[in-house]
Amino acid sequence: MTAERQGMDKDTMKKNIILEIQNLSVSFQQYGRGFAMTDLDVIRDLNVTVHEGEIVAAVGSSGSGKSLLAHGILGILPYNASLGGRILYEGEELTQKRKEELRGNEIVLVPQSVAFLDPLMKIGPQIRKGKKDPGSRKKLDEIFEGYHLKQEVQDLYPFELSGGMNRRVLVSTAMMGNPRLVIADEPTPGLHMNMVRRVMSHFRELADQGAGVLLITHDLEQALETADRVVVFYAGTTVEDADVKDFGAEETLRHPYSQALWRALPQNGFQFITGTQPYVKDMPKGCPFAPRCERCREDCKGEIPYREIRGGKVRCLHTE
Amino acid sequence: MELEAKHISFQYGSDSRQILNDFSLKLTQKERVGLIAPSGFGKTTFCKILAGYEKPDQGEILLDGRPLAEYKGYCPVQMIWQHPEHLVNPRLRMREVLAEGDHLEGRIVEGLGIEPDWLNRYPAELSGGELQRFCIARALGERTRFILADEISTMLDLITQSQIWSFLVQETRQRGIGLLAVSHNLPLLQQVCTRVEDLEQRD
Amino acid sequence: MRRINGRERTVLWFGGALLFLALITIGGRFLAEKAMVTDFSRKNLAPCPAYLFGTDWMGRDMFVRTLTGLSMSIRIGFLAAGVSALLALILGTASAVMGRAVDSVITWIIDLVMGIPHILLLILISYACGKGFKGVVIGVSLTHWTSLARLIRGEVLQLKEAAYIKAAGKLGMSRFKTAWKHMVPHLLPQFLVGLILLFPHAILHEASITFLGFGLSPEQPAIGVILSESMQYLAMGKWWLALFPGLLLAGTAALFDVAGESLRKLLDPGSAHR
Repeated sequence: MTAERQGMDKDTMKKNIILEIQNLSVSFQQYGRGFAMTDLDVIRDLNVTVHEGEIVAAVGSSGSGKSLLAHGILGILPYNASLGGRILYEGEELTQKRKEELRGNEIVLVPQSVAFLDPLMKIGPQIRKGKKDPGSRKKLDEIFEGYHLKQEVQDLYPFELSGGMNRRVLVSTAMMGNPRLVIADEPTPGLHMNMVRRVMSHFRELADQGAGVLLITHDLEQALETADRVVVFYAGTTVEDADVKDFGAEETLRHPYSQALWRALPQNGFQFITGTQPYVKDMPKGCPFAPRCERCREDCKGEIPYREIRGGKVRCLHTE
Repeated sequence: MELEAKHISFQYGSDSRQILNDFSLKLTQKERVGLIAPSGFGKTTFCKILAGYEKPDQGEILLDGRPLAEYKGYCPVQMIWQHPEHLVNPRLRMREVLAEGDHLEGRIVEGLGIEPDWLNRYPAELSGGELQRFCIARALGERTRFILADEISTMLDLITQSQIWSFLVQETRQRGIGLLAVSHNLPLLQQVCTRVEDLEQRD
Repeated sequence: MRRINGRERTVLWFGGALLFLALITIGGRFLAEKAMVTDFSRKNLAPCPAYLFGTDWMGRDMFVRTLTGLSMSIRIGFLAAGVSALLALILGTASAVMGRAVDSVITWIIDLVMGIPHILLLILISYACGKGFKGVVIGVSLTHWTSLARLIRGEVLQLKEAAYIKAAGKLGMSRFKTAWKHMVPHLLPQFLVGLILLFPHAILHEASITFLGFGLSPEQPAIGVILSESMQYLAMGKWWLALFPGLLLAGTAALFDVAGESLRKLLDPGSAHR
């Protein structure tokens, strides 16, 4: 098969959309000092699409709302949060009821910490979801072996695990079933590089079997190593949706923030732009990146459409 | 001044695995040393020992030839951690966090891009990158002679990483503060350090 | 008008409860003399507009007597809960910071006190201290500190290990300043809630031992005394003698609970935004 053919195959496969998130918003109802209640719009205009067989990385710094994305899809946001926009799963609206039915089965989360595990259940049965048939047992044994986890770990309770073990156990949970959609929320910090690669290769395997993987991370370098597509978050908004190969050079990227990220890579010059991501409470009108952007003009204070350019998407008025 | 770790061995509890085994390292005030080590080496533990947070089972830490434990009060060796959110009291405003530093110059606060408005906020109202700036500022007090940076930018985005490191390099160079940077990111250490100890290659 | 939000409602509950309790305490204090007035021309009256709670066999106004009794109960509760909470703070903190030996002794005492039924220990201590006001306060104080002490001990142990507290030491912060700056802001809310939630216990226990005759002396206008005296008259159909004082006692205890729980709700980040 030629490279071209492969590319075409990939494109035809891409037609099945598993997850489509349209203009998602999350806001928190909070008390300020005293009695005044305010709505904090932590996420607005978030657009992510995950196709079958694809790993999509959602990359953003802390405070850009990436974890809330995962919690929104799974319906596990905190009590004072409210959700706007649309989430479609296999073409149908993902309601709270459907989320509860699907999570843990078709949709699995690789959470950020062991706090998501049941503290009163041993690791083995917990990951097998209580299944005791030889098939499940064998599968889990194999997964654990792959992650250098001793079989005895299955008999431990979550609190008995060490830091690095935690991560590997959490990732194992996703490998157990036959998920259609895997959402991994920062699955690898604290893991050694070799282990990171192994985890990532497992995500790739799941994708090759037809699942969609949404990898949520702050680590652009890791995203570039594993993902097919990268969605860049900035201050609670998606600013760019680009193919991984677009990150090969600054010119093929679309949004000034993505380009700034590219230039900040140690191997690409380690340059930085000044300033920080704006705080939710004083978010500028229009483009959130405008205060730090050299291409910023008057019209950046208005509505910014999410438009298609060169096969990717970008939320910027001044890019070709 | 010289910071020296001599034949350090360490193990948590008697039945767990040995993490540090007869490890030695020397660091001067003119140097920025990068440390890359294999998984299970105990990088964070080593930094904690070097900064006096833990006592080694064997070996000693010498600062200018004197055991580090003899320095009472302000510790000239300051550590910056991977997760800044654990290093600030969630109930104190950021103004008070900065006040813990030793005669901090306004230049440091400015150089790290700390905005005046952040000082009135609580830690929960800041992002990880913003908190890390405070932790770095606090560690750069007047009497600081060495900085240990344990994966300080691993959880941060690339732009913040670059901002923070360029300031740290400039500040430590200018004031003659020695720096030990622990990371798994070789390109980063090559950008930042004067010498890189790659223990992965050594084995 | 705008809807009252959750936090305002909670604060209203808290403030309302405190105000009501303060009124009873102060009101009862001023009525103390009136409560002693006997008038045989109006004895054994059932509740009526003039005497809301009726009168007793000596013609004393039961409303005034009840308020005075409650006021006394609240003052005893205040004193006992205060001493108790202070004990809890000192012993809990000492247990956490003064090393293993001190810790095991204090933990042992906590287990011991918790192991003996409250009321039994209370009666013993009160009796040994000569009953009366002193006996009751000492008894209640010495029996109610344990669970708060245990809570504070756990909290301090956890704080001691917090990374920001260890870092403060390396930044040259003295132990005293560390405790003041870093520990007190965490402990204070817990302590206050614990203190307020001690009140209903203290009040109810004071009333119980007085009722049983091991607490305040019969001349004092205490709820426990009122209740035990009314026992003999209950059989004669004088139901109001026990009903209203009993209800008000229960209400007072419940109000303190409301105040404590509201405060907890406001201070606990898990529910602060509800």
